[in-house]
Amino acid sequence: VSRRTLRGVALAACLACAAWLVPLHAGASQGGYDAKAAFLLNFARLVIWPLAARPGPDEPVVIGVAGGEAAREAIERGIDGASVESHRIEVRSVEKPEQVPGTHILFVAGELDADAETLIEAARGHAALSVGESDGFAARGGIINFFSEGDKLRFEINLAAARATGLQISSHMLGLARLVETGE
Amino acid sequence: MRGGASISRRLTSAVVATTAASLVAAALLFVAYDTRTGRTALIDRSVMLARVVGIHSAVALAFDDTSAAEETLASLAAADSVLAAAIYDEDGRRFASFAPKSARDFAFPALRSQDQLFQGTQLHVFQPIELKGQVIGTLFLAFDASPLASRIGWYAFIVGVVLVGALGWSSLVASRLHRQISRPLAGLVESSRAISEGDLRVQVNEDAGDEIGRLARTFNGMARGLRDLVEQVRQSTGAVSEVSLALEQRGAMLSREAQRQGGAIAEVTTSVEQVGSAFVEANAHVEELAASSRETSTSILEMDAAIGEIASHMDELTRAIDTTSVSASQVAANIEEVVASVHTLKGATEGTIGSLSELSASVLEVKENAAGSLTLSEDSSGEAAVGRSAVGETVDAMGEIQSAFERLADRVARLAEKSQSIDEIIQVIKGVAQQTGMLSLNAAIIAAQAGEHGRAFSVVADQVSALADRSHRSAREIADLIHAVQDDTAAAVAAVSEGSAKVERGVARSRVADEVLQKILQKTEAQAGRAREIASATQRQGNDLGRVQGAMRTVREIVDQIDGAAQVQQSATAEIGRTIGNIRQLGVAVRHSTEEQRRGSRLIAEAASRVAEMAGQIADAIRAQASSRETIQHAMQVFDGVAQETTRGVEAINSGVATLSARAKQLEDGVGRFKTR
Repeated sequence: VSRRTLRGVALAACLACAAWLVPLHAGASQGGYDAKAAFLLNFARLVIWPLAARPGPDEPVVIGVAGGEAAREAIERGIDGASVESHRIEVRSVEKPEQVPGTHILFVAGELDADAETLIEAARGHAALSVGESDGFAARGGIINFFSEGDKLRFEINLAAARATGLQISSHMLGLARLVETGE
Repeated sequence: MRGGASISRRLTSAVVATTAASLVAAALLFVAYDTRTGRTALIDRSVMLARVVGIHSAVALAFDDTSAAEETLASLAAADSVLAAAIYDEDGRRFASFAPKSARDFAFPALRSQDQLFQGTQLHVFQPIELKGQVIGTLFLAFDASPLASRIGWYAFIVGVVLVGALGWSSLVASRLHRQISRPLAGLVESSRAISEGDLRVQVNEDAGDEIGRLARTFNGMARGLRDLVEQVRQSTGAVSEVSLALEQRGAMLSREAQRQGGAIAEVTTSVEQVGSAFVEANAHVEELAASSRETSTSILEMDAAIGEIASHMDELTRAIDTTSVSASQVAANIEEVVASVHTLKGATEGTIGSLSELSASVLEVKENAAGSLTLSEDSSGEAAVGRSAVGETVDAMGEIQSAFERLADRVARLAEKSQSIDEIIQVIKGVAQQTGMLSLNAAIIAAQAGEHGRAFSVVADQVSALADRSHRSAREIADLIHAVQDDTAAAVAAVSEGSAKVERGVARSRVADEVLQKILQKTEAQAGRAREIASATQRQGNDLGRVQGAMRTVREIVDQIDGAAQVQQSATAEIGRTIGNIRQLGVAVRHSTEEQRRGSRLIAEAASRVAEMAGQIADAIRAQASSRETIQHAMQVFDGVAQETTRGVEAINSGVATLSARAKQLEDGVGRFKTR
């Protein structure tokens, strides 16, 4: 499984190079989503959900993607049928707060707007790990936010938001992340 | 003491050689053991360190964070023995590496699977990196093993020094011990040899205070005792020799006489005793036979009882087997029922799973309907709000209409009043017109009277008359008009008041409509809330249903397993039934053979008791014979007693003399051997 993940990372790097060489190519976001899908898998491995929100033995880990069908397909491609321990991964599209219950990770693709903020609120209410990719996502109540540092994908964590949601994040993961606070 | 020195030297050298061999073997084993222990300890420490570092760098590798991984590896600078470290990703590429300044140009090896190997003075450790049970890469650590090698070298050196020292010391101690122990012992050995050769004059050195000194003192005491004894014996031997010679001659004569008499009696007595002992023996054998026959008989009776017991046990066993057989058939029947129940349960489980799927589909449908109903509720809520604002506007417009109607009614009332005043004016005009007509008639009459002169005036009078007519007609027309206007105005007033009433009713109804709409709005919002609750409840229900479905699938698997087990048990129960049948047949056969054995043992018991009776008869016969034999024996014993007494006296004298003379001779010889002076 992790061979696939690494292959996905390698593919993402190739696509990123291709995107850099051909600026008109639209694959930049696609490649980015492959790496982000690999990171989302690792989040699923390193975050502990509260008992009530944890998936049952035969249930999948559900990643909800907000921001359109294209983003959802890109993430599903990046996951590539991988699994976390005994749980398979299910990627579903989330557009309304009512769709948030039942998801374990909520990935808000694209820029943060008013709809996205209601989704973050819903995620906090249903113990879902909210992950974004726009500046200020974590500072405005999201838990994890992706950002780029050079050619590397990095992430920042709002630890207070994670605690308020009832999630435990691995200290190893915190060591790699930039920590932010709400309202920064 | 021939060759003694060479033997002791050989012993010393053998001791030293044995010590040396065992020391060398021990030293080699120690060095080998220490090498192995040291290597194992180094490997254990290294693998432990590798595991710890692997755990700490797993997440950095998973998140592709080279700098964090190198930071983790750099913490190995604290361990002096680490030469280099690297993390390989799953494809074998070096992801991160670390080498302290002393090993900047370290040549990293190619990736291997989990391994620990010594490369010259280095230990290379490859440890898989796992994240949540999945191998995502390999950690490589190179350790400096040269301290271990130098430690082992020092160890070998110390063991060698100890070996040489121990050898020298043991040879020294062996030679000293030889001198201290073997020399006095040799003196003792020499003195013992002299005593055994008859030289009782020897004396050993008894100065030593240890065990050897005590041995020497005891030895000297023993030699002294021997010397005194030999002296006393030597003195009495001479007298004894003389007395014994005289006795010997007299004894020889007596002996010859007694021997003749004794020989004859002894022969008779021996024959009688042989017969007697034969009878006794026969009697004993017969009694033994009788006893053993009785015992046999008793044993057989006991055996018979035991066989009877076995037979009754066999009957019980047979009954128990019958009961077991019945139970086994019941068990078989029960198991068949279980199998049938399991089949029913299996069908029910399948049905339940089917129902659950249908239920799941219907829950989905409910979910969609709830979503649709939520949308509808929200739409109707919006429309109700729009309707409510429209009703508000309507009420406002109605109010305006009402006030307009009120203003209109005022105007119409005023118009009616003004029509009244117009009517009065018209009456005045009508009066003026009548008077003008009268005046014109009067003028026409006056003009006719005036004749020709009044003709012009009559023309004027005609015109005035016509004018009065026209005025009168106009006034009448105006009056008609005014009446019409008055009627219309009255109608308008009525219409206006009716319209005003209608407007008021309309306003009241609009207010009712507004309240109704407000209620509709509240209800629609409540409905929307409920629809949202239904949607989330349906979601939860769907999740629960998924879990129930999973559980039912598990139940189906368990039921399948129970089904398989029950079938296996069914066949096993059939097998048990067959086996119980076989056991029962065997029991019946055993019962038959027990009966036969019982009959046989009874026959044996009867035969044994007959044997006992016969033995009793034989014993009686033997006892009869024995009583006559005892009479002969008694006479012979009296006779023999006299002869024996004679012979015993002669023999005693004779043997005493012989012994005495032999002893005297031995003593003389022995004492002659010792040298005491």
